[in-house]
Amino acid sequence: MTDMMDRLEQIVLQKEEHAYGFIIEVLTRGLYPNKFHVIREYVQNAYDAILHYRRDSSQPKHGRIQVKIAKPSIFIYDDGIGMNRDKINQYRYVGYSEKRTGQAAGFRGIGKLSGISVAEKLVITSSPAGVRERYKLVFDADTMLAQVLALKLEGKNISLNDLIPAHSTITVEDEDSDSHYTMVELYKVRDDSKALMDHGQLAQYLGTTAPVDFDPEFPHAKTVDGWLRQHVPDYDTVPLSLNGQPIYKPYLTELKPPQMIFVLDQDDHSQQGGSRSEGVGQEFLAFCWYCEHTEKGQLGDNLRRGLTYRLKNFAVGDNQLPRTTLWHSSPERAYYFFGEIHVCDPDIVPSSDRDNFEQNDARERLYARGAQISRTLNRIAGASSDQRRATEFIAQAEDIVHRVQAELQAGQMLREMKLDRTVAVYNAVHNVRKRLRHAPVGFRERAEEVMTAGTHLLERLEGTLPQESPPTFYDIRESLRLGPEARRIYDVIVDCLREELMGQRDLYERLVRRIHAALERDLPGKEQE
Amino acid sequence: MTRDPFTVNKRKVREMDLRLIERYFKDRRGKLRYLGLPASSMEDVLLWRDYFEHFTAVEIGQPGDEYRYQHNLMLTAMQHGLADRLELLRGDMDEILLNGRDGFDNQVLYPFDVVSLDYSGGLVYKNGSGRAKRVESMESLFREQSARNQNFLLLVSCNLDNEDQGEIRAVLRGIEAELKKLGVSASGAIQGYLSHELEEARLKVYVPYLIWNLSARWYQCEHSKPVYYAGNRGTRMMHFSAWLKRTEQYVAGKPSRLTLVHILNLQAFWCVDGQLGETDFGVPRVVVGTAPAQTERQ
Repeated sequence: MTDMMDRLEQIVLQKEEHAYGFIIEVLTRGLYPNKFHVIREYVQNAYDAILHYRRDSSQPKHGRIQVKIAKPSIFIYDDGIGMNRDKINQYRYVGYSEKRTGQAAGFRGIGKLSGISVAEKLVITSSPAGVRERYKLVFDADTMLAQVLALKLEGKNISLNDLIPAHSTITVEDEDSDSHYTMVELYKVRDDSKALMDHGQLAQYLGTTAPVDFDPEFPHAKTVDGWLRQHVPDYDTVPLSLNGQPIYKPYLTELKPPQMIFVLDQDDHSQQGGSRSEGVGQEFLAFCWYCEHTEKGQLGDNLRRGLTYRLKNFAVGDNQLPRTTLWHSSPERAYYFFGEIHVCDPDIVPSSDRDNFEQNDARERLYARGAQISRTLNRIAGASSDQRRATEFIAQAEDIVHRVQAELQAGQMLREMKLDRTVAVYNAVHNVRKRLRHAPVGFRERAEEVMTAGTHLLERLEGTLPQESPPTFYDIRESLRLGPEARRIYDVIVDCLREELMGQRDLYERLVRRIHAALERDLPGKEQE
Repeated sequence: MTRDPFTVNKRKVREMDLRLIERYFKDRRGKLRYLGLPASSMEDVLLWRDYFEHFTAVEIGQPGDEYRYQHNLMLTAMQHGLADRLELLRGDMDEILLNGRDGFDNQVLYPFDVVSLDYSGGLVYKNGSGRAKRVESMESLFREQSARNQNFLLLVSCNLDNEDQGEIRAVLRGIEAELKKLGVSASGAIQGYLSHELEEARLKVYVPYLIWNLSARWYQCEHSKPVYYAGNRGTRMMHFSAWLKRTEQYVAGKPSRLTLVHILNLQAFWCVDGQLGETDFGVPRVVVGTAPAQTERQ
């Protein structure tokens, strides 16, 4: 009994470690294959800090994030709420965060250490308002990782409780009590992460990912921003600069005015248009705004076209993700549009790598209901296509009718071409009549006019207009006064050509005209002008 | 770890510098470029910020902890909205000036309108091999600035803690000899400086002479009165300012008599508790006349 008690006591007294240093190796090597996501993590924290300060201080416009590339480091600075002594100490806890899921952009407590995957040291200085101190936390990432790897080679391990304190320090310095900020330095960015030091690449990444304002040059910036602030809960933006240059969301040109879609969590209640219908008291899963391409087909910019998911105004995934999750037919039509899908369901959370949402019921619900977006956009794209085709046919018909009219008026229509011209006018009128319902309002009148003119022209060609004498066609047989046998031979040749060149009417006409020219030139005894 | 306090005296010196900046650059307010050693508190930069569009700040930090000081410098810049205009060069100023870049390949982006060299060590500074690195780096600065035809204001602060290995005394004797060749007797003044109890008196001659000598190939120097004061933790400091104007009129091997006399006769300010007073250190003035030179005590 005593032995058993002793053994139990030993087990209780022995400190148990539940997390070991290999986690650091995973964090540094496995979790961030896209190194730019590391910057996003700190921008996310900066954004949360600024929003926190805005709420606490009732200054809704306060704050900005400054990112600076200064070889060999990258700095991310915010004038948000700052961290006190306890918070800076908790920064060292892997996987620890007091942010609640759905209330802040970051909440897992892992992203804050992502910098150790790209830099030799992670240096964080922070100060909250009302405190005359600032706290500097330094993570020596290189030595930490070196120790883990060295132990690994020996088949050993080290607990995080021993590892992290051994390779991190917190120091206290004086500060003004009015100051409140956090600055993160990724000191000595490693060679395999040098892309982060490229201004152009980082600016592009931040513009497409971070919760920044729309570019003031985007013609619909004000409209869309107003919608988002009105309809998307917790939607906000924070000014962000990179090396002094403001970062905005990129935009495209050649866009029609924006439209919106509300994705609701009930069958057939997804709403498109300017407002939610009355009586729909339920919160919606997502809010989508989009602009259609003014020209035919897909937008040209591969990186920016299409829709992007956003959660707390941070991008989740790229412009492929909505296409692959919402489009079940005609996926190419996703790129006829440019816009965003702001997810509003608090149960939907981004995956760790933020390339998708975590798989759960809420996500499946979003994808199922969100398919309404693709159906709506496909319908719009189809209608635009029909409209475009209708206007093209109307313009074509006008051209054909005018040319044939002019030819007939001048007496230059060849007898051999009468059938072709008749068929062309008939088809033109028929195509317009078939597409009349798709024609835009401004083209309806033109369509009616060309159908009337075409019908009249057909009757002229047939010689059936009572008030008009039959039209005159140029008959080379008459012109050259060919005898009966010559006429017969000529007719046989032309009939053979017509049959042979059934699908090549232009070639047929060219050959007929060449034959005419040759006959007029070479045939003896032709009438002189 | 605490930040260094900016003493009343140093602030006074910086305000005097600001007046010089205003004097020489009043038409270019907001467009100037700065190179200097502002330290992590960046007090001079903050005081002069309205005149400058760009700052190049050099920070060496402390051995083994360099990044902390450099981090804090950037933090100050961020707090005051200056990071957009800041280029941080990490390392020793002398090495950076000599190499034209820091150890991370960040280049020195010449030219500059104001160069502020707030040396924590002395100016007469040689490494173990006897090379006057600081002097060589200053010469490099003048060469690069002159290649871009740049007039500029040079501000130099240094302390008196370094042993000068006889360098200063040798220079004073050299000045005496040069003036003698030019028919000017300065022995009274030189002896006055050599025997003076204050090292400041000798530095008052040495530093302007050094600046003039190193820059003579490219620049005319206009020296303002230096200031001596007690700096952080009571360190004895001197501050020099010179307006360097680009010139092609260089006469090798012939120091200007007037320049040497001006340097010897240049008065200084003392600054105590932020208050200024003038002094000639009680050293006789050198008088230049047609008769054999007389010395006068003012």
